[in-house]
Amino acid sequence: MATNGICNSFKVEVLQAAHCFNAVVSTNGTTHTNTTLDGLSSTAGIAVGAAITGGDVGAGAVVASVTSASALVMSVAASGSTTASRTFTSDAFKFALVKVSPATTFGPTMTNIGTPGTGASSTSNLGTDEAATGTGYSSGGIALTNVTPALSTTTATTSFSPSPALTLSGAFSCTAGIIYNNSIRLGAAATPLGGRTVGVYDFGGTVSVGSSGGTITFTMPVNAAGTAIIQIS
Amino acid sequence: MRVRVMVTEGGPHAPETTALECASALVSFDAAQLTGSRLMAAERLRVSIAEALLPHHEAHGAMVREELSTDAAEHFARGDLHDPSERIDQALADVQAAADATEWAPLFRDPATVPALRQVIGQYLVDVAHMHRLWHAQNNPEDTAAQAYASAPTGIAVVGA
Repeated sequence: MATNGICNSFKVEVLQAAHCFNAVVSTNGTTHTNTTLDGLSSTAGIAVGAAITGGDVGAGAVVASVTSASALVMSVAASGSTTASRTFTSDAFKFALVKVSPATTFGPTMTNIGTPGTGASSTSNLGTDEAATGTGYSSGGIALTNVTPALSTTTATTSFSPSPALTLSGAFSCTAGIIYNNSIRLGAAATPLGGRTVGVYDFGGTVSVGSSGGTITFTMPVNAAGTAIIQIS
Repeated sequence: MRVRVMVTEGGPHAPETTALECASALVSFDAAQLTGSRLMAAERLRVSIAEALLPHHEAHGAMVREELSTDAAEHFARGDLHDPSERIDQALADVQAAADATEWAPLFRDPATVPALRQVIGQYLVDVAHMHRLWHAQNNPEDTAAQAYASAPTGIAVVGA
């Protein structure tokens, strides 16, 4: 049992630039053994903080600043001068699942996923209220694939596609899901810095498969005003 | 902003399951608000649409399974992993044809509604393909590309375009 809703803390964090839902962008760019990356066909969809990979881009490099429609500055100098495909990855979101009869009734007051599987549950820790692992569900949840936010009439919406799914080799059950941001974009007075929750979604009852396993798909709603999984109107 | 949940015991979702779920998403109504002949007509429409979608779900799933069994590495290396756009137009036309004889036919051809219909049809086709890739990964632990996909699905979704 959980209460559906976007997390209150998420609303504040959106205004603090603490979440980036952009989809992965891949485009050719040229490095110069410094922090400049230019020759990009476009910088559309590339945000400060996005991870950069490809060719001789330095390990752990992120976008430090976007300087034009075709160039940006990386946080780490490149190791060579080449033109090659570069990939820009925004924040990594996950979908953690809540066990049957959790000790905490999760809802919009939740702030952080905490340490799934460990510790007492609270509004800042899924803790031992996480669904059981071992038959196909991994602690921490299912990795989500971002869909770049867009405008639907006057409402900004985003979603994830494909829909998160589990292929299970044995029994499994859950009652709700929590979307959270697994990337760190904002400092905080306490740890963990990552794991900021986005929204809580009740499934309306127990969702389960038996000992022979099976498939569970959590289908995302239509990515449009009024129905999208995440929207700002 | 509700998440619809689809559950299948003992293996992947059958195409009948995904087609019926997609039809339920397309023909969503409150049974308490419809009575008598209108309720029956709505239920018939849902089944008719599921039947219209079924061959598309069967074909899309079969295509992905065939590609995975033939050359999984090439399949996972492709950039259009989630692009079912070739199939959406015909699936939408078949859904509209299934609704034509009903009182809701204008809704299914309303330019304001069509983008949402395309998106729902596309999302379920994307999810069918995703499910088969996940099962391939589960049954082939030595396939590193499949394992990488399962842990962090990639590919740009093309839905509702």
